[in-house]
Amino acid sequence: MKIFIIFLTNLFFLCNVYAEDISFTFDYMPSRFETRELTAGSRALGELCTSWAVMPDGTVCNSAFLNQNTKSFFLGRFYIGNGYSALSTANAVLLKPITKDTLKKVFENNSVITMESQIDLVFVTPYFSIEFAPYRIQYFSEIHNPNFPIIALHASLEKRVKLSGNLKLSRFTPALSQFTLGLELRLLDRKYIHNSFSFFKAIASPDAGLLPVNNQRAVFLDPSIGWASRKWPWKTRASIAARNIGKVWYSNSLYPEYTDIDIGVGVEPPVEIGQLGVGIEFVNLIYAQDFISRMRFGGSYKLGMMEIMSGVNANSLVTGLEFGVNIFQAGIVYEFIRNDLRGLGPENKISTEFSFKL
Amino acid sequence: MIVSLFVGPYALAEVDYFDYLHKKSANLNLENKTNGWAYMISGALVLGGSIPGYYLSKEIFSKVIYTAGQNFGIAGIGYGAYLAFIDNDYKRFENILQKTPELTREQKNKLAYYFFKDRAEQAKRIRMIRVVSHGLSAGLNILNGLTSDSKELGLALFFLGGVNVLASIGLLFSQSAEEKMLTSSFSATPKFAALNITYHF
Repeated sequence: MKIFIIFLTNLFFLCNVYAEDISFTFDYMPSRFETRELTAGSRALGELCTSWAVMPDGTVCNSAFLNQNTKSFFLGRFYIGNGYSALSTANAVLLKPITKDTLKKVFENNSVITMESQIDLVFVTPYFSIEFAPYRIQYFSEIHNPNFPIIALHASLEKRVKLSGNLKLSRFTPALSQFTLGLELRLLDRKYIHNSFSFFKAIASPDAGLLPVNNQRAVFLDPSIGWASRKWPWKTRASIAARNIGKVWYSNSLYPEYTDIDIGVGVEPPVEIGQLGVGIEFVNLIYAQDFISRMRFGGSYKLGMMEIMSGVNANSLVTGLEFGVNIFQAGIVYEFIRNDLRGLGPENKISTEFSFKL
Repeated sequence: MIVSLFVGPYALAEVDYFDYLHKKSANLNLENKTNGWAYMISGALVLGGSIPGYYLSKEIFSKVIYTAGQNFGIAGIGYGAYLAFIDNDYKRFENILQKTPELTREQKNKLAYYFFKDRAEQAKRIRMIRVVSHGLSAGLNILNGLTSDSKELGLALFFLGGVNVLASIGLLFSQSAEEKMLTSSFSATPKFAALNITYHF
C-alpha cells in the first residue's frame, strides 16, 4: 500500500511537470536582434547609420551618402556574436533534423544564451551597391527550473538582398548641389522557430512537432535625403530617412517592422594625423517609447590600418576595433552593457568579424 | 626693328612635363610618407594590443581575431616602412633626370613625357588583363551557380558572377588614373618645335 501511494504521488508530480507552463514562452526579442546592419562597424558605432558616411569596412550604410565612397570594390564578410558553441547549437536547431543529442546539447548549455551570426557579400560603387546576405542567424534560449528543465527558444534564419542607389540633386538644379537622394530596396526571407517545451517531452518524442517553423517574407523601401555641406566646417552632414516602407507577408509581433523615420547629423573634426568622426542620431521617431530609446551617439578615430570606434545607445555601451592590411580585415567589438533580456540585468558580449576586400 | 623667326627640333612646353613630374612625385612622396608613418604607428598599436589580448581572451573567435591582429600588425609596420622609406616610381625617375645635368631642359621634358606615356600604356594593358580575368571568373561563377545543388550556394555564386560581370564591364569602359592623366592633362601629340621671335630696336 505504501509503495502504491508513493508511486501515485510521483506520477502526479511527474504529470504536473510534463504539462509545461505555456505562458513561459517569452514574447519579446533581444533588442540586438532588431539591428538592421549586423556588422562590427555598425555595432561598435552604437548602430549609427543615418549620420555616417563611410563605415569602417568601406561600405556605406545610408544610401544618401553612397557618393562619398570614391572606390568600387567587392567585400565578403563573416560576423559572429557570442561564440562558437552557441553557433553550432543554433545551426543544429535550425538546419538539421531534431535529434535527442541536439536537444540534450540545448539543455546542457547555460540558462540564457543569445547568439547571432551573418555572412554577406557586398559590391559597392560610388553610385550603387548590392548586398546579398544568404545567412543571418539569430538564436535565443532561456532554460527555467534546472531540476525539470523547460526551455523557451527562438531561432531565426534570414536571407536578404539589398539594392541601394544614389542620385545627386544637382542634376535638377544647382541650388541643390549639396543634397543627394538615396534609395534602398530590401528583400527578406525569414524562417523562425519560437516555442517552449520540456526536456522530458523532447526526449520522449523529439519528432512531435516541438519546433514548428514559421515563414515570413518582406519587401521594404527606405528612401533618404542627405546633405553634405561644402561651406560649413568639419565636413558637416545630415540626413533624414524613412524606414520599412513596404509589406510583410505573415507579420508577427516578434518582428514589428514599423514604418518610421530616422534623422542623423555627423561631423569630422580636423585632426593633425588620422581621421576623426562623430555622429548623433534620433531613430524611430514615431514609434519609440521614450527619448532615450531614440538616441544613438558614436564616434571613430582612424589611423593607418586601424579604426577605433565607440558608441552608446539605449541598450548598450560599445567599443570596437577594426584593422586590416591590403585585402584582409578583422574586427572585434566589446559590448559592456546590454539591456537585452528583461529582468536579467547587464551582460558583457564579444563579437568578431572577418572580411576580405577585392 | 628686326624680327627673327627660328623653328627647331625642340620640345614645346605646351605642358612642362618635367615640372609636372616634379610636382607629382613631391605630392606622392608626401602622401606616402604620411600614410607610411600612420601604418607603422597603427601597426605597432594593433600588434601591442593583440599580444596580451590573445593570452587574456578565452573564446576561440576572439583568439583568432587577436592572432590576425598580431599578423596584420607586423604586416602593417612592414607596409608602412615600404611607403615611408622606398621612393615611388615618379620620384626615382625624377632623381635619375636630376642626376644627369648634361641633359637639356627640353630633353628632360621629352623623357618625362615618354615616362608618363609608358605608364599609361602599361596601366591600360593591366586593365585589359583584369577585364579578361573578371570575365572568366564571372563565367565560372555563373556556370557553378547553374550546376549547384544548394539553392543558397547557387544564389551566392550568381551574385559573385554578377559582380564579376559588372567589374569586367566597368574596367573595360573606364580609364585608370595614369591613362586619365595622360589624356586630360597633356595633348595626345606633343609638338616638338620651337618658335622664337626676337625684337631688335
